[in-house]
Amino acid sequence: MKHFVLNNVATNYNGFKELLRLKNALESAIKVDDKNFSLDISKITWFEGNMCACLGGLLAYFKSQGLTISINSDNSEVESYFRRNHFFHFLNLLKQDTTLKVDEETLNKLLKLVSSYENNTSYVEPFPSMNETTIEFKKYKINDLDDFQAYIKESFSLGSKGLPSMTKELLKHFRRSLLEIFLNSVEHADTQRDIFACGQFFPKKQQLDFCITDLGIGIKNNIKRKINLVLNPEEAINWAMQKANTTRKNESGGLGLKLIREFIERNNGRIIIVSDAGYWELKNKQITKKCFDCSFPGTVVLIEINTADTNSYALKSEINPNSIF
Amino acid sequence: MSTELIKITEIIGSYNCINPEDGKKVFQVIAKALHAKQQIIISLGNIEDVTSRFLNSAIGQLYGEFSEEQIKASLTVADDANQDDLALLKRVVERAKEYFNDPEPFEKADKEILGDDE
Repeated sequence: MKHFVLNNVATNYNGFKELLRLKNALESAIKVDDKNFSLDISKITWFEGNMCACLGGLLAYFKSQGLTISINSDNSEVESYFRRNHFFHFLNLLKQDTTLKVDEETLNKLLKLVSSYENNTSYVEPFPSMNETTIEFKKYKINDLDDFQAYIKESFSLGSKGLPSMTKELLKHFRRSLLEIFLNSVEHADTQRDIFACGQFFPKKQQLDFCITDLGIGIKNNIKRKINLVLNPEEAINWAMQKANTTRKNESGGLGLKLIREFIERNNGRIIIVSDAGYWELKNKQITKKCFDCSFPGTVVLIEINTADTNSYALKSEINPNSIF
Repeated sequence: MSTELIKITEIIGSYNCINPEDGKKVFQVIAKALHAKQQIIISLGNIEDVTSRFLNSAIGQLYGEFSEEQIKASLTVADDANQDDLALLKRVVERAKEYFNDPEPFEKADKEILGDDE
């Protein structure tokens, strides 16, 4: 049995690098035909919940290749967290040595800490990301658009449980962005594999992160396949984010990602896209492009918004319905 | 000339205009009315969520089948739409006009700029 110790995972280049280190280990277990893989999460002191969408995608991908993955942990706080956001449940991950037991004492302790945190800003968090508000981990079939839409509506409407105070306009643009990302995956991933989603709200930072992962062919291969344009992975992502570019033929479109980019720039938020071996990040209107030394089996899109944003997203002047065409 | 009011949410049976496949149903209704030389008023009223893909499929693609002149002369939008949805529709329409007027730049320009290894 291969044993792998996962370290902290934040939402940045190094966080994805850590997940790709795991991917390499999973891949090597497949290569040597070692079907049992033990994932040790005991050492984790920081794991940003939205990254569950990416971790979940990876584990599901290698489970489908025949690996049996079990969780090895004596870190009950991390374990409770993964249970609370339904990560273990949806991936059917089992603890290695015992039957599943909910550690009620730890869970209650955590709930008290969360409550304390929410009501008292003087509370100092031992595991900040673990105590924030999580948006449930979910996986969807590629044709489950209606279910995904219902999940997004339930999670991100005025009055949704745990959601910070946000303007109605901001919420609408955020929901639309997530739906556009899902549709983009359906159209371009060229796969029947599931899509994974998870989010996290950071009250102190007034920041909401949401991540969607598909296990498709990736942006680089999609561009190559559809329009025979060969780009390196990070340039392929950059190409897809430019206004005039689309891989569609004989039909207009390709606006979805560009609209998200405009929205995030205006909100002063962040987008991260990891596809194949490419890393693309937009923050403070600056783009960072990097390359990993191995490929992610699909595409991850993360959007992060500033929830305190009170910008009006309407145009400067009213649009006359008679001037649309 | 008769006028037809096309309520998008009624055609797709939902307040959520997300799926491009639903957009095709709207496209078919509008296209049929355009072929029949009718005046068409499109209602975006009661929409909760809408995506660019839905609107592109429902309305943007009309520019691939009908002339800009015919569309402009025959289609109007009812005043029950909110400004945010109108803004999105306008972007989709602008994009469709650009594309169907001259698809080449969308398909070629970046190959020239970035180079094609093959």
